[in-house]
Amino acid sequence: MSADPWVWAAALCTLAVFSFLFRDNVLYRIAEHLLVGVAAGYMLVLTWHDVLWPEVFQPIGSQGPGLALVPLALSLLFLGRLVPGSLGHQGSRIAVAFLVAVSAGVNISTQLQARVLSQAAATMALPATGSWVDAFGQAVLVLGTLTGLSYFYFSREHRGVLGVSARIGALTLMLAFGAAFGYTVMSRIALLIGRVLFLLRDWLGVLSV
Amino acid sequence: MGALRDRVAGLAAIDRRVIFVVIIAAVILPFYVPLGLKVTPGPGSRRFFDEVDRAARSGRPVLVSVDFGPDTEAENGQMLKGVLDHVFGRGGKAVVLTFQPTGRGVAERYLKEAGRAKIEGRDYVFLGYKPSPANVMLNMGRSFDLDFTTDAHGTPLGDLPLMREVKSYADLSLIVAVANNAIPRFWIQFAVEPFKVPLVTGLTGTMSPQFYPYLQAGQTRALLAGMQEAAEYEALLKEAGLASSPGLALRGMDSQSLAHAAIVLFIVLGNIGYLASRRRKR
Repeated sequence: MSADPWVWAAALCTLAVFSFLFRDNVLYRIAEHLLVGVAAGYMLVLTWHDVLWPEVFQPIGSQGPGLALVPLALSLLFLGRLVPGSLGHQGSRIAVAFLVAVSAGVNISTQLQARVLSQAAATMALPATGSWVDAFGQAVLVLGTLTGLSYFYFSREHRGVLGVSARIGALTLMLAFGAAFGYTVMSRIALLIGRVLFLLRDWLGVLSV
Repeated sequence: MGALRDRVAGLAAIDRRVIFVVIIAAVILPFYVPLGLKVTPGPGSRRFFDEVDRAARSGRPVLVSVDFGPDTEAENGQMLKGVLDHVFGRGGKAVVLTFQPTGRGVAERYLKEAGRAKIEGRDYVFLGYKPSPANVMLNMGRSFDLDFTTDAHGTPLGDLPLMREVKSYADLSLIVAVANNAIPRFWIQFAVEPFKVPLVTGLTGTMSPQFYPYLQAGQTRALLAGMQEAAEYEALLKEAGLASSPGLALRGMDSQSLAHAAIVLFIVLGNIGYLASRRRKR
């Protein structure tokens, strides 16, 4: 059994979280609150050490107030939202506007290229090889994409050709959701394996893998 | 006949605690009684192995983006360990960074273990955590100096021999993003598309289905999905003599398989119970 107090702390927290499987209880809630508190504290320290100090305060201290004052001023303006009706509250709109404008500028063209044009081109591309399997796969992809899109076309009632297409689209979506569910199950079991290994090997020492 | 039908209908309402106990047992049992199921690498893990192998042998450094925390270490940890073992085992160099706050500690721990025979600054560099991935990724395409003046320990980049070789993406052979979130999508949007730098991804099972369209479009050249493909990659590394120690993924596959079988069994039983109870209501 481990003699490390941090391993004990982690093991007891793990068991407290697992106790929720039986029913909601005070141990689970303690672990939950602990996680939120530790996460907030961790973020605060990390933001100071890795962002605020090296990016803002250190440059101001060593090179004097320069460009680093701009993000600092905008960050302080954000805090104005905490006082409704004040001048600071109005000023916070400048910071929000700056953030929205930068995000839009950075995202619009790159998003269009990466998630629309390249994806559309890949859907329309001819199969890489001349094999029947690839050709069939590409046909399924095109059919699934078009029928899936038709399912979200709501300007006409889903009857006739559109109805059939929307139905095939819905089935395609169901297949995608099924695959996603299968992967989620796999993922959750993997996490459980990780925790079980930690308890048996690192904490109790009854497993030697 | 009626009693039997009642009993079958009761399958639709198995106490959830029974299910939890069976799943836990299915996970623990194979560690003591191995099933010996064979892990055969598929095309996805082979492509991932080939891409990392080619990049590690190219002589140019590999950028590893560690975008996961301790919460998904069981899945992503094995991928990261494999990638670092692979790159260092082939004599390659790695520049490591993270855009996930909880990734900082994880990245440092894995680097320390995989790079114990390597020299920090010459064979690998840890740039630490940076917020705002979009801007940082765009800047890195022009020059790393725009956002990184020091490494994670405060050493100026100019004092690190490896960083004298790496000025922008053009000096890298590959980006490897190991993540449990949407950061690889940022890599595609802000590095792959504008700067044409190759990317491979190692993702949790939950994230993988969202990234198959990018794989199909060639925006990510290879994708490792969840613990199963991490185990396949581990098997390939073992075959190539590059695994530094036995990993968790291969050991966990028996548990994974047995737990999946238990879940499938419960789904089948639940459906039988549901059909029986529906018939009884009629």
